[in-house]
Amino acid sequence: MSFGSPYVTLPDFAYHRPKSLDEALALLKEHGEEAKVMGGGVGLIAFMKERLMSPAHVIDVKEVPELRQVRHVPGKGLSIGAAVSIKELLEGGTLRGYAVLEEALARVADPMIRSRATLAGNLCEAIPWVDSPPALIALGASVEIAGTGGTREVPVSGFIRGPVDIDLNPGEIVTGIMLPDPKGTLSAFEKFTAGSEFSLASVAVALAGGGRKRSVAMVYGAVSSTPVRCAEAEQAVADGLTPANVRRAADMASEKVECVDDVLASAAYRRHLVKVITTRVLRRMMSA
Amino acid sequence: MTADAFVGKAVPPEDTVRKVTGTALYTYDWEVPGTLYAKLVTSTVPHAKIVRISLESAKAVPGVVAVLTGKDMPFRVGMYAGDRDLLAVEKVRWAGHPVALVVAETLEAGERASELVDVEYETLPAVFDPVKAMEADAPLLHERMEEYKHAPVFYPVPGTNIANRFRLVHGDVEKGFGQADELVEEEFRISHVSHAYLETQNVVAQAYRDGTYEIWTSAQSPFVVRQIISESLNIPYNKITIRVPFVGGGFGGKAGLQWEALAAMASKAVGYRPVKLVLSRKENFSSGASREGVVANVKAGFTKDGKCVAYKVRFVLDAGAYADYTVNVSRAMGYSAEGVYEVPNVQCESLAVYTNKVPTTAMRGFGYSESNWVLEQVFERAAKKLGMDSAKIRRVNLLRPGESHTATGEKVREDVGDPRKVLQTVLEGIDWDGKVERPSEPWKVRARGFALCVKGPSQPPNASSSAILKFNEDSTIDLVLGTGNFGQGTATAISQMVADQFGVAVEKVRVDPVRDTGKSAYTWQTVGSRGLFTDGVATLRACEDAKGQILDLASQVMRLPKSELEVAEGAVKAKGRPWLSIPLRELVFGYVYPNGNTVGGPVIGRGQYTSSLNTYLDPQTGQGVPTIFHTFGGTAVDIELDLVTGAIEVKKAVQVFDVGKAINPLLLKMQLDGGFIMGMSIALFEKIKFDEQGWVMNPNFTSYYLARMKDVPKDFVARYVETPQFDGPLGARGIGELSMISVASAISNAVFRSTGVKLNNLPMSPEEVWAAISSQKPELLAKAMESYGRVETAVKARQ
Ligand SMILES: Cc1cc2nc3c(=O)[nH]c(=O)nc-3n(C[C@H](O)[C@H](O)[C@H](O)COP(=O)(O)OP(=O)(O)OC[C@H]3O[C@@H](n4cnc5c(N)ncnc54)[C@H](O)[C@@H]3O)c2cc1C
Repeated sequence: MSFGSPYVTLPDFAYHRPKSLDEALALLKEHGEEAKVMGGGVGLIAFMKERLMSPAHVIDVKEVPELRQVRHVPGKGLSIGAAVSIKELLEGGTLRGYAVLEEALARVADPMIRSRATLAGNLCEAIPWVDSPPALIALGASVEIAGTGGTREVPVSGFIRGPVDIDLNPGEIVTGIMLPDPKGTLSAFEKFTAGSEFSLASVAVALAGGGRKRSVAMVYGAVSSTPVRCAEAEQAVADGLTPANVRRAADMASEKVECVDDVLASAAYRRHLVKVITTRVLRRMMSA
Repeated sequence: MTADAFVGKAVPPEDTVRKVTGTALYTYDWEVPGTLYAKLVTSTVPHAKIVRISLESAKAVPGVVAVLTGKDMPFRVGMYAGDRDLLAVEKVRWAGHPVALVVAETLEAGERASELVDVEYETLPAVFDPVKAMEADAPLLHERMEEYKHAPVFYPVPGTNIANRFRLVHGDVEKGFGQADELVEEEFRISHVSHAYLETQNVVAQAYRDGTYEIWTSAQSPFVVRQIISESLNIPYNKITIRVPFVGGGFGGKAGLQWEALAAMASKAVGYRPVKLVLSRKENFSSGASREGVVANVKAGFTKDGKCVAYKVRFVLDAGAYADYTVNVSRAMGYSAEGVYEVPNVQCESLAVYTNKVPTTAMRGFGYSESNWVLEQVFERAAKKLGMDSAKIRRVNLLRPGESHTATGEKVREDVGDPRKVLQTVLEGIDWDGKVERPSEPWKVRARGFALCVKGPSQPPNASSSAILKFNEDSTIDLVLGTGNFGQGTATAISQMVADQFGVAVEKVRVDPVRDTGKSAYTWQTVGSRGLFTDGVATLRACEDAKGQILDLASQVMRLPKSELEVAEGAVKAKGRPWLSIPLRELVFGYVYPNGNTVGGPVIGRGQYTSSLNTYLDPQTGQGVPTIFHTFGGTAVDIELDLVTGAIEVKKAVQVFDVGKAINPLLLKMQLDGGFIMGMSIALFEKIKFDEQGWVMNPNFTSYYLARMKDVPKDFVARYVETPQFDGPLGARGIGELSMISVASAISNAVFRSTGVKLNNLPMSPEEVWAAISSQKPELLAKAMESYGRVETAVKARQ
């Protein structure tokens, strides 16, 4: 036995390329825990090489028409099919009104990876430093899930249960991500990287409504094992983006957001970065 | 073609077409019928006795041919320290140490079986800090060090973890400190870094029943691979053939022995079938060798007028579990302590120390980068203390060719290069006296800094090179070299010289891309920026030899004395009467008279180079002549430091080197640009991180950061000075490694000059810089945060 995984090859698996959602669901039902859904495969294939996952069946959903759509659902919002690539989402103003998500996705990895990777894959990967979950949580997005028993919809905040741990049962598939109507939402994203594209700390902010009914979401990514909201910072800017409030929010976030030490950065540095990116994102929003 | 048609011209590297069309073949491409695949099983603990290794379940995996352990090949191998094993014997010395090798029909079977090899360990106390490893009660890694075959210039201390102790004493430092007005005393640290070559270490080996071995390997120096295997395994040199096809980068990390002996022994053990071993990136990080870490303690004394009168330094190298090559790095770090300066009193101790971490080896810069990180910052700190300009303090101390002596007591020759002109060109390149640009944001600092450097190849005095020049029937030339080609373009530069020697087009000169110990001309190693110099001189001598043969024949045919003939424009011509000429084509395969009578035959020129100037260094004082040339150079940078995040952005880079003669300005520029980027990546990002058991925590390029395209400065100035060296090839000196040596120091100096913040630890990652600012100048950070948070300075949001 060696340290970690000795593998560079892929484990044996059967490859399926269903042409409809029903076909995909049938395959999932048949293979249960043995199956994994594949979007872009950017994460899945790497995990399989490392034997972090060894599905006997890989179900590639890139040709499932139902998952290839981006639809406006009146009264609800924008539903993004699970097999739509990040690059496709960034084209043609699809994400107009959802600046925080657009900015987060625009900074995922590099153009090559963005043209393969999907938003659903990025979310389902649920590794602590991916960029879309904080943005989705800030927007109040939910995950559309289909299984043999029917469909269900869960908020992204509940969907991510822990690092690499999501609320998805064997036999289920994420069909899409629902972004609620953005009306009047002002939002923005910031991340700090050093060397590679992966965030050492990121923040997603969404301000909805005005006056007394204003709601604020400030979600931090990459600083902890899952995305974390900071109620104290949200409180600090609840009555408006003023210089004093921004400063208070940055101080609160830096004090309250729990940060971890890991191979990429120390907790102390992350706490400092939280202050920096909070200041930066709110300052940008002030002048918007 | 005229005699200067190619030398000095920007000829593209000869391997470009094959590389860009994907037709260049690498070791990995060697798929010999019947090949078996090998997989390492590595230690999970940093230091332990091997109690028992159970192989049964691994052997039972279908497709597994053999599972080998150290007992099957109990050899001790190496070149300088002779301290390595092929697979762990009796004990493991780091987490990642290969303990067994699975050999299987497929890689998949090998991988699966590797998980089933069960090793029982009896844990031993481990040591990870090189300074602690020198303490009297530290756990010992190599109990039988006295039995190792050390090369004569190394001084291990058996009974300790010290693999080599280099000492240099020049003048009397204590006396020097007595004369000093200002002292600079600091501790510097350097992290382990990876060579990060694109092609990981890999090898294909075949043992034959007739007692011979053929090995394909991604290596820099085929002859030294053969030497180590032959000497360590007691196999005659001519029974081993090492073949090196295209190599995807080396940077020193493929300079010595890698896995060649292991694969060869495995091939023999499995019944003479070819065995292929390819390391994954993770294995390359955790079981291969990297650049050592360093802890340096320095004290330097300066007089009021800037003269450095005493320099005392101790380098402790964190050499890891095996230091076969690193003992030589410690030696080079020691004797290069004084860099480009003349200091009358120097005392240096440089210790390569074993720890329970990954083994270490040579890397581009080879000790000089590390000593430069200390020295050039000491000078910057002294300048500030003395209130003196950074350029002035250097001018005061610079070596003076023809007059000065280096710290090893070597008289600096007149033709060694022009350090003053280098300094001047560096300063001009960065517009040193001009106004520094305003930072792009109020919380950022714009600054300039520079550092100088010098280096020569760290080779034994008898290191030699040779070249063979063979004419073909059509008078094209096959030049046979041994110097490796892993991206430098040495063969191209040398071909240009050959072309001009005969007045033919450079396309007429070919160097085979494969280096082969059975076919190539001998060269000691491809390291230390020596290839162009040593193999270039050997080649020019081979040209002279061939020309002599051609002129002998022409003299006979033309009935003119040799002295009246010359080789020019692809022909032999009578001097002053160029109409009397015979094309080379009619001479190089023998001259045929009209009646068919033939004189002469195929022309083969040969040449060799061995320096007659080098000596061993005195064991007590380090005095002597260690290198065959000194290339002087320097780097200047214009940076922007973000005080808020600690991130440093290089806006402009200036690289200046006295190369003697720029044989190929294009290749030279590529070395200067590439070296800067590598140096900058190591300066700003790169660090192998270890956990408390010595495990490499970031064995991949998502968590081991490398500079990306976006980090490369937009403004890049590469200049060269040409002070010819009388014994260099057409006056040239080596450059390959040089171009990264002073990069980190230049960046750190820029930060220090502008902010007073000392960055003593490499890398200067944003976190490291932020930590330095917040501990040394909290008021600076507070002020920056203040302006960062001010609304008036807000950047416009995206609409
Ligand atoms: C070099 C590099 C740099 C990167 N940089 C960044 C970065 O800067 N920011 C960032 O956020 N990420 C980054 N990533 C991560 C990358 O963005 C993700 O790996 C990618 O988004 C995953 O998407 P995918 O479609 O390829 O997912 P896949 O690899 O196909 O799937 C990932 C996981 O999600 C599951 N899954 C996928 N689709 C579904 C579905 N419809 N239903 C149920 N489960 C599903 C899979 O089973 C798998 O477990 C980087 C990756 C690399 C290799």
